[in-house]
Amino acid sequence: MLALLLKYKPHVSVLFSVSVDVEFCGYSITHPSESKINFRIQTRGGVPASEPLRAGLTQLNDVCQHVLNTFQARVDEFKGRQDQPME
Amino acid sequence: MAAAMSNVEEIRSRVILQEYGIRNVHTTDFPGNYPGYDDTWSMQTFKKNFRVDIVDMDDSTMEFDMVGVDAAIANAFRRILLAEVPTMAVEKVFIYNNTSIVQDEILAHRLGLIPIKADPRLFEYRNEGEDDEEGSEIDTIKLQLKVKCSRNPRATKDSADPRELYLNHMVYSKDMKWVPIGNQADVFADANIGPVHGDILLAQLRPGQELDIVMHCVKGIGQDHAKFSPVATASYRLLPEISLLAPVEGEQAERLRSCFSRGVMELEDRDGKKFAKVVNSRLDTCSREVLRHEDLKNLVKLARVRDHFIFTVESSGVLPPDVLVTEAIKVLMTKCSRFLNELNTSNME
Repeated sequence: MLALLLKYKPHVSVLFSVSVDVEFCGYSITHPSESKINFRIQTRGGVPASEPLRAGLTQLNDVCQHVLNTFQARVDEFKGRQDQPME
Repeated sequence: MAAAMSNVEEIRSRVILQEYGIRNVHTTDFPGNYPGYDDTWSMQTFKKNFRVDIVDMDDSTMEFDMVGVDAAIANAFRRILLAEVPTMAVEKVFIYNNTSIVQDEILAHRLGLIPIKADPRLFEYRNEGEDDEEGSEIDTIKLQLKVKCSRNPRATKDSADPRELYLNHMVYSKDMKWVPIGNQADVFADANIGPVHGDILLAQLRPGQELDIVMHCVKGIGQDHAKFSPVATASYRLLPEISLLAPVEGEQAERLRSCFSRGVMELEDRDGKKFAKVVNSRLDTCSREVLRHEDLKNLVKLARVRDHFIFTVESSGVLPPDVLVTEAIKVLMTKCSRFLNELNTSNME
């Protein structure tokens, strides 16, 4: 069980719960004016709770990297196509 | 036209728009939820299903599709575009002389909202602290606005047009001049720093009134003040999907076509009769008008594809929209790595 206090907002609890070891995963806002969230992960089977959190954050990082690469490749492709009819 | 989808597939992937409500809104494909489906997260399946398609792009607006992500991630990108991608904006306004009709604070507020064309990635955040007046060259841009209105000596006697009678009676954003500090003149020699648009009217003057103002621009994010938001707006919508459940012909087909946005449905000729056909459901704005007609509402099914996001990003002019999207993705990655670092260091203790 792990109850955390994280600073700053946008986050994705969805990615964390896709691991089978996670029994509970959720968050709540301490107060709307404070930029902190209470984040709670509960695992089953004796797995330390920081594991799915770490895995989830790493996955989110990898997802973003892939999105970034794909997006940049498509933008360059689009710009290349735009320049061609001009020539 | 009528794509026969099994019920399970539909619950997993479509949001259904009905007359009195919307069904299947939330993602339900968690591991273990559906017997027979393996929903555990895998980077491979994600990479296989994920794609980005750029529909349209120019210097100020772009429209692109992101398919295969969860709504939470798409929403995170949208929120970061609005509130956490930094820009430069006027923060401190030193009013040495303001004899115009516009009050000091109103004028200062207006100046803050003007988008400033300066790449925020080349600047640092300013530490709010002791040095209130001085800003260094890596975190501040200094702008000056000095306008004095006078009577035009060459105006004809009977004219009533202010454009003829007065000189400098309209203060535009193009009158804001950049004053380089330190080595900014060399570093930003070819980047003309100043307001993005020169035709924003700031104040109106009459002879004898003048403005003598110095402004400091700093780097900030939209979360702090909306003036720092780099997008005019950034939004997304889900791809609509319209399917006909039965063939519709003749006058009914005409009425059905008029229930949707233009270009969504067309009439095709078959055996001399006109049948309705869905041509491009992407153009629909999902007004659900068809559900208001008793005889038409059971002929169509309105749905949205849950993981297909059509993003529209309009830049306010500071950075091109594709750069803004890449910056937003990088901001999310920075947050992830920061949490990961904290997690790792706190575990050592």
